[in-house]
Amino acid sequence: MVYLSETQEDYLLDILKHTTKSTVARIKDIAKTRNVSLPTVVSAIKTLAEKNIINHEKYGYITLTDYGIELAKNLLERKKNILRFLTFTLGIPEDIAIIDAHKLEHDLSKQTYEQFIKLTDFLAANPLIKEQFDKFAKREAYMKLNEINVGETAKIVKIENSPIKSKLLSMGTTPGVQIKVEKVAPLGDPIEVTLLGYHLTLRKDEAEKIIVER
Amino acid sequence: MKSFTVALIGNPNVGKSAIFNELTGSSAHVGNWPGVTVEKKEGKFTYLDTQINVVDLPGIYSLSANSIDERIARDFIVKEKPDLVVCIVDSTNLVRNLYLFVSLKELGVKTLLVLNMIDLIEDKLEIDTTKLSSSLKTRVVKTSATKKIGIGELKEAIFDELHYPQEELYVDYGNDIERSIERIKNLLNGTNLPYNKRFLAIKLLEQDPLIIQELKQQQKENIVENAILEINSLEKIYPDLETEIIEKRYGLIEGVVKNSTKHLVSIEDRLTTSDRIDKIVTNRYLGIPLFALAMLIVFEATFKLGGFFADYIEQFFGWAGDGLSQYIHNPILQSFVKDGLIGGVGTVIVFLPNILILFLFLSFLEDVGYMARAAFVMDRLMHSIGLPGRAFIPLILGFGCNVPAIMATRTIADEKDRLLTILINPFISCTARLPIYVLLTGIFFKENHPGLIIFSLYALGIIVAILSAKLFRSTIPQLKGKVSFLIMELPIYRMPTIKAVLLHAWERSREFLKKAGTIILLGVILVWLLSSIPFGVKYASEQSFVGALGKFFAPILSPSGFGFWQAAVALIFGLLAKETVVGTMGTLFGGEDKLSIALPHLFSPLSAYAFMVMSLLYIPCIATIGVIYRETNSLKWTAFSVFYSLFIGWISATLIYQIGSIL
Ligand SMILES: Nc1nc2c(ncn2[C@@H]2O[C@H](COP(=O)(O)OP(=O)(O)O)[C@@H](O)[C@H]2O)c(=O)[nH]1
Ligand SMILES: [Mg+2]
Repeated sequence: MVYLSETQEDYLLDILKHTTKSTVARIKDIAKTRNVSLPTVVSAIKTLAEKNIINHEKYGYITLTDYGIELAKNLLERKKNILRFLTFTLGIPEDIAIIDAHKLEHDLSKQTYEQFIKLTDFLAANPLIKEQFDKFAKREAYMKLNEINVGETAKIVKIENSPIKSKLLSMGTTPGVQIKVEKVAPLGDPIEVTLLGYHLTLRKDEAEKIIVER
Repeated sequence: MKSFTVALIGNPNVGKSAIFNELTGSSAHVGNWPGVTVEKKEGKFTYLDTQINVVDLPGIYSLSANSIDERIARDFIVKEKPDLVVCIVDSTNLVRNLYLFVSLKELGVKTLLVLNMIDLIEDKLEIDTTKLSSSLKTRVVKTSATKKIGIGELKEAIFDELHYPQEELYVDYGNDIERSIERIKNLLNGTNLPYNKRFLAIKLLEQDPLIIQELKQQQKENIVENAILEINSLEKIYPDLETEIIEKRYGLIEGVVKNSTKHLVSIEDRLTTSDRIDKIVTNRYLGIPLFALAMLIVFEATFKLGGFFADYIEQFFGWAGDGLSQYIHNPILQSFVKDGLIGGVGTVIVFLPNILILFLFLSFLEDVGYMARAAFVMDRLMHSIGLPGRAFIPLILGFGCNVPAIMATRTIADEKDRLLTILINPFISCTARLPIYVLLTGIFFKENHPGLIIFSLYALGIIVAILSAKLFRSTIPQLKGKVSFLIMELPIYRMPTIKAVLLHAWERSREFLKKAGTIILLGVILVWLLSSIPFGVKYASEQSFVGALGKFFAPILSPSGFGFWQAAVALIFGLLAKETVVGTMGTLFGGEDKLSIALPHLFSPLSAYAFMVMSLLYIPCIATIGVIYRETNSLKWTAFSVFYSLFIGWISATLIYQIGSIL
């Protein structure tokens, strides 16, 4: 496989996009989508043509060679896989994943990339293990109720063992229940929360025993 | 006539008292649950040919045995076996409220479900009582206690249910837990605890301390151990068994509620009015000023307005004493009627305006829902001195008078916290002590910052109260430990009925008259007796028994700087009411106008200050002792309060005098 720079890869994918839409791409269309000047595009196209990836025809029309099509499709595939690895396997939110995927796409070694795919496929085939891992990973994201900001809502995960556990549970702070922090008392403690449609007040050192996730 | 007993139960603030009042009318009788300071209310009504006795149980959230209230309610249900338990729930908050109901069903008692506050969900939530009734295996009645809706139906339903058997309700805990429950149930067959076996088995899995203890008392440790084995093996599947069990109950409830209710508007709607009020009332900046304002109004009304009436009452009794004694010629009898009997009754009655007005305000604030907010606002401050937020109001009221202040401790939920707040209250300087300070600073500190001197006494009272609280918390076994947890519902604001507020204020006044009044009257008569024997001597003179007592105590008081009998007698009379110290001195030295000449011969400024410290701290007055007895329901704690304060008073006065003398 030939080596393409990051920008060259991007050009290639752009051309792929245009050619799938209208079989040919025009230099000025590409300049428009990438928001760069015509000469810049022309010089990039020239390099790609030298590598026998595209045919640069007259009147500024560009088509992909068979080799180019294959290369672009591989590239696209790779992009998707990396995104899937980030969102599915690692559970990264999509907006962050897109940015990070962009960083990984170009610089990842083949070996690492292939392991990424294997792990993703493995977890997809073994949902129980995936679930275990998700739970494990989330523990980091758990917070104590007293760390939740005023106005935010969180979901109860568990009540830590303490003398107040059974009181809290019987008042409805059971796992899965949504709890919203309404306000903090004028002197900074206690706090007021709502759950199950009623208002509850408790001290911060009591709220500490309620583990939640956002 | 046939008679049955019915217990009322429910979460706090569901309108249980209101329903109780509607059911029983004016037949209510207020007392205490045996051995504790928790209030017990009983009443009755008649339906057809049947008398139905109603017992009001404490407001609770569950039937676990975590608090005294929960224990009382559960014990009453399992040991006294009422014929029916009427569970009152707040229709605006079914899910959380039904948790207690489901626990009752698990206990295996016959129940009736009352959906109260039905007026508040009109046009907002539709509850299908038929569905609710069949899924919860109970009869369901809708009421509004304040709008008097459904009370007739409730009475009828109570009567009917007394005569019909009821289906049981099972929460399905899932195969694994159910198997454990079965195994424990089998072991329980040989026991004769008064509980339903399934309930016992489940509570054992929840490790209920009271039930474990009861089994151990019956030498059934093996069952407890077996239960622990079951728990251990279940915890391999459910790492958090307790949560799992409670979740299952809530799961059932959520399912039932979803099935039998329909929201006509979004749930947020019902909160808004109350929330809007709270935006101001518990606001970051306004919360404390508003609380201060509320306190100011309550304080002024209680003591200024109450004082206005109290003055007239005092005048009336003075006039009545004088008037009546004209018709009595035996001098001893005359003095008994005037100073003992009428004086004693006067001492009791004089508190009535204070108590009545105070409890009009406090019950209004409580029923409106403000007291919970007051605790929310003040908790942090009080917590730092080892008391709950609700202790603030009784302490502030103490600056007016310790009698209503101690009566106001009843809003403190936790028994320990309440006891502690009662015991430190007498150190807060009430207005009755002010005349002593004014008299003595007027004579001895006229040119020497009299304001500062008086202020220092108030401050000393607060300091002694706080230090005593810390001391009791760390030394007395019954009071040891941390402040009880807060975890408190903030009920939505509601307009109470005038009737309920009046009734509550009247109840508290009546209790004061009956229980505390007797002690106060006896105390006053005792002091009269001590001052009159041997009969024939001048009342409270050097020759009287009290004079002899004064002489006996004088040497003990001499390290404090005032070792003369008149001081001791004045202090003994201070028992009646602290301002009496001034009057007594006046009498002993031939008139209050003579004091400014007589006292400088006996007191130095230093010993006068020590005497004021003594007056501040030494003993609660008789009326305060009376309410301490009434509220703690214990002679032991009453005696403790008396002796502890005597000791603190003497030690403080002595330290101040001795250290002052060295300086
Ligand atoms: N709107 C409405 N308010 C009620 C009803 N029942 C009681 N309340 C009010 O709710 C508040 C608490 O009632 P209370 O009887 O003291 O409740 P308890 O704590 O359960 O004894 C008071 O302000 C009552 O006036 C009702 O059916 N409808
Ligand atoms: Mg009540």
